[in-house]
Amino acid sequence: MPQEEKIRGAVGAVEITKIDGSVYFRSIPKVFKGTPLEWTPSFQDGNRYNQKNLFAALYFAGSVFLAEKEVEARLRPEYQESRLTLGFRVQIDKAIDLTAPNNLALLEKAGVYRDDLIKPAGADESGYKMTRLIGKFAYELGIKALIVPTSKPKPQDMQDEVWHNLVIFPVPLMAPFLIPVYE
Amino acid sequence: MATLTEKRHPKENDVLFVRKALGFEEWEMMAALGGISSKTLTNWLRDPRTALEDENLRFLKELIECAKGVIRRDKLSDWIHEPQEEFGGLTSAQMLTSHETRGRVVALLRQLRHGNLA
Repeated sequence: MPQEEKIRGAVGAVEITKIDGSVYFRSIPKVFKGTPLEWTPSFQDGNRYNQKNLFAALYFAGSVFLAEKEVEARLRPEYQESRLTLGFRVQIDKAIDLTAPNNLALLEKAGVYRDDLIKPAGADESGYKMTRLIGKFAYELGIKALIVPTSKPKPQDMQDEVWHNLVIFPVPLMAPFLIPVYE
Repeated sequence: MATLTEKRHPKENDVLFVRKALGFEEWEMMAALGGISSKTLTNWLRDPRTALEDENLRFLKELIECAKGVIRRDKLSDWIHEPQEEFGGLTSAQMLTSHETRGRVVALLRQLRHGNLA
């Protein structure tokens, strides 16, 4: 069986979970505080779990500290214009947790390892090949969010900190609003 | 006879503006403008009106615009010359020298703008 099909099967087999009111965070420049959930750029550009021009995904961090770390890894604090960190209380009924050992074990059987989930994109974005496949198959299954590992190392003195990210697919979230009007 | 002021196009400093904002060396500027020659760059700096319709120059101006509110203006040239882990250790300046990869720099700026990072 081709690896893509194995990955599709693994994504279909992982346990569905709920996110019941947990708070997730995004650090954004103050001047853009009016559009913290804009997803058009994500659709246009793509990212770790979404291929560009296919579907959008919004990325959140599990803690304020991690949200800031994700920015600092790309832009030093002294280079940053003023930023603020916003919290979002998330309730989602159909998510999958890619940090859970049993789900990671299913992915491993399909040849996808935890390191594949945290690879840098690389100049040609080949580092995102596996994660984008996972995102695509999850999206096609109507999964609304992925709980995912972060590539940023957890500081020794922050062992109690929530240390994962959340990827929300906005379109499946809105799917219940659809009313077929024309055949 | 037209005066010097009348001859000036309102956008005639674009080439110099972009080069200064990005802190580009001459070779970087030539590469980012689609591999133009040193002679063409000299001509464009001397008379930037000839470069106004250049798609590469427009792209670089949009990139600078995209960095507004995200990166301090006086730090943009430093940031652009720093290696980025997600570019496999290449700098944004290096990514900008190729048509295939330059869009990723704008994408990264938009991710920083919207906090869309993972």
